[in-house]
Amino acid sequence: MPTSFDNKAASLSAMSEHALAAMLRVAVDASPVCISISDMTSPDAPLIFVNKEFCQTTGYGPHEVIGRNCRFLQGEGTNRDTVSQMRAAIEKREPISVEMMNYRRSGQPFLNRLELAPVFNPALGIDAYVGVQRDITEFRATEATRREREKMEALGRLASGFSHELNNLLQPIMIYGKLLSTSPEVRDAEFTEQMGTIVDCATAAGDVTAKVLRFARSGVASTHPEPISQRLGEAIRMASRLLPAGVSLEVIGLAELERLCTVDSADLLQVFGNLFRNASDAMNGEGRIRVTAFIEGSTLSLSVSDTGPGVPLHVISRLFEPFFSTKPPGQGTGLGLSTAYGIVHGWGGSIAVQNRAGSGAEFILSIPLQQNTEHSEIEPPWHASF
Amino acid sequence: MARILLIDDMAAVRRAIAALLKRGGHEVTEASDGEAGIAAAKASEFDLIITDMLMPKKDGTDVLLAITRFERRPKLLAISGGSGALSETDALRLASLTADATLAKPFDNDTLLRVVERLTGSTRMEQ
Repeated sequence: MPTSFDNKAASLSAMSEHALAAMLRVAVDASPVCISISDMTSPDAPLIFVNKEFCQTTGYGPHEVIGRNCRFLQGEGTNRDTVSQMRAAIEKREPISVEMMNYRRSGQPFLNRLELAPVFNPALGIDAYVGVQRDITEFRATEATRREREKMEALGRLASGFSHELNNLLQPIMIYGKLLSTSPEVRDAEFTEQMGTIVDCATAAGDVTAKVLRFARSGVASTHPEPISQRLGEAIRMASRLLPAGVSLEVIGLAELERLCTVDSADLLQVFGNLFRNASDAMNGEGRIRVTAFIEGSTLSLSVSDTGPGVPLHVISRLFEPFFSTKPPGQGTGLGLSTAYGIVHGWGGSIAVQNRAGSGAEFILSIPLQQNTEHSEIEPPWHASF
Repeated sequence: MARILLIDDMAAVRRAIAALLKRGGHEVTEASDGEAGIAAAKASEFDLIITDMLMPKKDGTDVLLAITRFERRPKLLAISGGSGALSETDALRLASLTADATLAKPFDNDTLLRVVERLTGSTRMEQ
């Protein structure tokens, strides 16, 4: 007696060519990846088939794409070298796999992972290419964010280990330098001055390690509760004194922030001072800075934008690294934005930069406002009284 | 003048601090780790114990806890420059639960002498 499984196997193997073709058609349409077939026997290799997911991803209906070469997906952001590479493989009827920037019908770009394989059967007169595509935009973005976070964490560990070692080594230099320069036996003015320079430099080196540690640190300093509007306003006012006369400052939405916070004023001043100095330098001392503040749910959003040329794309990913600077040697330590980064992350928040559509750069700070609990050992700095 | 026990594993740091304290008119005994420090504290009487926090063998926390159990407890000052694994802020936050004062390295000469004077009630005697 054959089992029911054998029965089924028997019926499948006996499936007519026609039924199988129908089954394949349904399966291909149900596939979660974009599948397309291009006919290589016709001039300019037009598409002769696209599945549902292809239409879903690209936004085109089948009637809009059948009969056209699939290069309509390409646009100004598509890498020409990748296209040539693909063409060369097709010329030789080889399989190829590429990642390229493509565009939906709406004009929205997406990163497309495209795998092409030749479908060739001279006996049946078939000369075609099957394409399997996936929109990997989100995957790549998540991956980039993770890499970015890991890089900053590694830099933080390096900065922290390095600075702590230096803190210890600087101690004897500072003590002996000062002891020797103030020694009662020493009457030589030149000697006193030279020892004084040693102490000054050691003290300055101590300031550098403190700044680098601000980047690496996640600890928080906090003080008595005060309305966010007041503490933030005070920090912005003080930081604005760093701005040259040619830079104007506009502050929006601050007055409405009535909730209380305990965040340290010195930390706030560091963040705004560094962002303002950066914006002012980018604008060569002429332009406008706009600070916008608002609370959405339990997140405080602060935006600091300028009217400068914006941040070059190749600089964006390195902007918050300690000692990274685009200024000429001797101008700027490259520590300002990394300090701001460290402080904002110490608050449990994040800081990001983007170029605005018109012109200029915009720094966006997102800071979680935590509800204060009586049991918490360390008061969260941006706790808010609800 | 105060009798001070100074515990720090980095010889150059320890000797520099000792020199500064002596210049301030204090009497200084040095120990190079927590274990030697606790032994020295048991052997003689001190007005103040200055201990580094991050040391091999017994560290600053061990020193602070051991000294806290003394019948006649000297004043305790914890100092730290931190390490890659533990920042000086965290080390000193921990220390502040038992110590009378804390100082982050590198500190200024006058700052240390002022803290010592405040803790021991001594006045500075320039030698």
